[in-house]
Amino acid sequence: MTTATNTPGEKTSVQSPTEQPSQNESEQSGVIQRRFVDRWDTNRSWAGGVALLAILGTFWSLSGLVGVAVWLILVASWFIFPAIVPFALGYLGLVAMAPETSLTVTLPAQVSLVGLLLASIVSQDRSLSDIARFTATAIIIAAIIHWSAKIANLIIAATVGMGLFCLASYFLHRYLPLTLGIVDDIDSSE
Amino acid sequence: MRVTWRYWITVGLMVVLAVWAFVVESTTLLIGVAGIGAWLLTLQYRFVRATQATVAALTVEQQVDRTRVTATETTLGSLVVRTVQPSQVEVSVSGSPPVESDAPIPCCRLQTGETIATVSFELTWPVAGTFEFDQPTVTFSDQRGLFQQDLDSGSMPAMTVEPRAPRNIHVGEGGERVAAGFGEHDTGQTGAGLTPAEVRKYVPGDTIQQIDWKATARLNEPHIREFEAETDLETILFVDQRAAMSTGRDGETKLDFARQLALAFVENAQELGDPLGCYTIGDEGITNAFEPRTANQHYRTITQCLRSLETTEFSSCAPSTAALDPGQARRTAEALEEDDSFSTRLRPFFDATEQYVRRIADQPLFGAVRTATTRRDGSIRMIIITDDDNQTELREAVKVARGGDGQVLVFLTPSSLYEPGTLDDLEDAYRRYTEFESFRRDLTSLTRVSAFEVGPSDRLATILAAGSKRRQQRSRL
Repeated sequence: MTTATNTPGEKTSVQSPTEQPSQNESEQSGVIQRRFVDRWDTNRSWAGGVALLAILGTFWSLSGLVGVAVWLILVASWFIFPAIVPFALGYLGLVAMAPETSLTVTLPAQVSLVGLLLASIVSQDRSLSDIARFTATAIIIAAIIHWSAKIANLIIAATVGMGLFCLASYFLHRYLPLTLGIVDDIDSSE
Repeated sequence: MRVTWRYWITVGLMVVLAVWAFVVESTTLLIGVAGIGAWLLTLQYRFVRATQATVAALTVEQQVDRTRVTATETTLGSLVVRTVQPSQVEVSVSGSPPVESDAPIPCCRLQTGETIATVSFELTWPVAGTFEFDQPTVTFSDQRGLFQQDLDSGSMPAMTVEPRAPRNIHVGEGGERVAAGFGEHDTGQTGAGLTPAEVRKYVPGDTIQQIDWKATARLNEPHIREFEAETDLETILFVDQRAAMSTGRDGETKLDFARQLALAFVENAQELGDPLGCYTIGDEGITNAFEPRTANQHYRTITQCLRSLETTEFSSCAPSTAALDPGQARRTAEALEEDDSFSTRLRPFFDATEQYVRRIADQPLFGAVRTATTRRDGSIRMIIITDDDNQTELREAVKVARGGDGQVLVFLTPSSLYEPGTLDDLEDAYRRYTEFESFRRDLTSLTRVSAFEVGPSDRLATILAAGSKRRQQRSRL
């Protein structure tokens, strides 16, 4: 069992040997703890609520009551799953509600959906640079995908978008061990 | 950096949206893909930044309350994780106590926003030796559980576990304490060296380099200065770890005393730089064999081996130790002169010289000594540390060990000093001790052989005092 106590100068977490469970107990509590930790936190915040209200408005204006029905599904999933799930469901609903509509018409609804992800990012750390970074990245990837779809086709656009994401993610994956000086360990383990 | 199943689920969601975009031919869904991708990349970059900042401010300390303990003792250990600034990521530190310690692997968690976390744990050390902790493994995780990074960081304390050692060791002859063969050894020879021995007149055959020009000028005729020869004394230790060596109280068994003595010889050899070999002998034969060498690592290996030495299990199929002395057998056979049926029937049983040799050769200690001596010749010091249970075998082993012109030191742990309940009947204990003393003197009477007793001084003093009292009572009568 771990106990955490807060003092004026520092926050501490202390575990004494008498508090330590036996091996069997720790195995059992390890399972319980893992289940607890493994449950994906939904990171709900008031900013997410604001984004949901914005989504309600845009969906209502797009399809009326059908939009509200889709919005209710989004709200339910927002309470159960992390933000990416209502975001993805929102996009699927958007395409279902307005299949032939141009991007400019659905832009307000898309912006309010992106607001859901933005709220998730700032729920724990309200860093302006993170907001700017997310917005810039989303706009750049979206622009490249849109441009690829225009000059080629959807498959090329999807491939380019996913490729860009994979490249950037792999770069960050290698960059951290490199800066920590443990690249050799990574190389030998892979 | 490692990504978790949550990361892959998110990527899977992107793929689903991309495929569905192709199915319904909608660019809008691909914009959704871009949104999720940007979300993941932003969180990944945030994790990279937070981990770098946390690593720069992180201190991990593995501590133990003592660095020197006796085997089977329990110590307290602690794992302290500290950051200068509140941690921006979740930090989980797994301590790595040596596998020789009987302890669970402790885990210390520093939650986001905390600056210090401590976990304490108990360590039991059943095995003697020197052990070093591995570096703790620090795992950084982001708050959403998408990314992880492992890093080995922190102090690695070393722990020296001493075997349970007796404190009142007596090494001596007939109850008199003697100094064992520690220190430098006088070879009685001159030769190459640094310590001047003598100045003598030049004789034909001496080299010009040997002439001491100052002595020659002073004495008006050529003189030679000779130096004490410096040689290494090759030593081989034989340490008995058979089941009989487990006799004695807990922590004061024959083996405990034998081990302490052997360790002293190893330490002495290391100080003098003497080549040292070591054989440990179990019930089934040689259990460890180290050829004589002088490398520091070699001394450490022998020390480690001796510290972890335990008595072996007695095997019922081990050969019998009751072998008949061939001299005694010959004399008995000669005594059976008459040709009656009784003598005829008994004679084959005493005609056992060949059987004696075969049975002795099967004995572990004898076999070990013979193995060691057949591989080398010249002046070697053999040190045998055993008990007095197998006297015939020991006598023959000593005879083999002194082959060449080597010296043999025998250290015996008399059973009468170790067996529990011995002091209940002091008269019997004294009688058994005198029998042992007779055997020890018998060994010492052999050329280039010295035999000593090793045992607890308090018990020996009690037995000797009882013997002295008995003699006084007899003299009064």
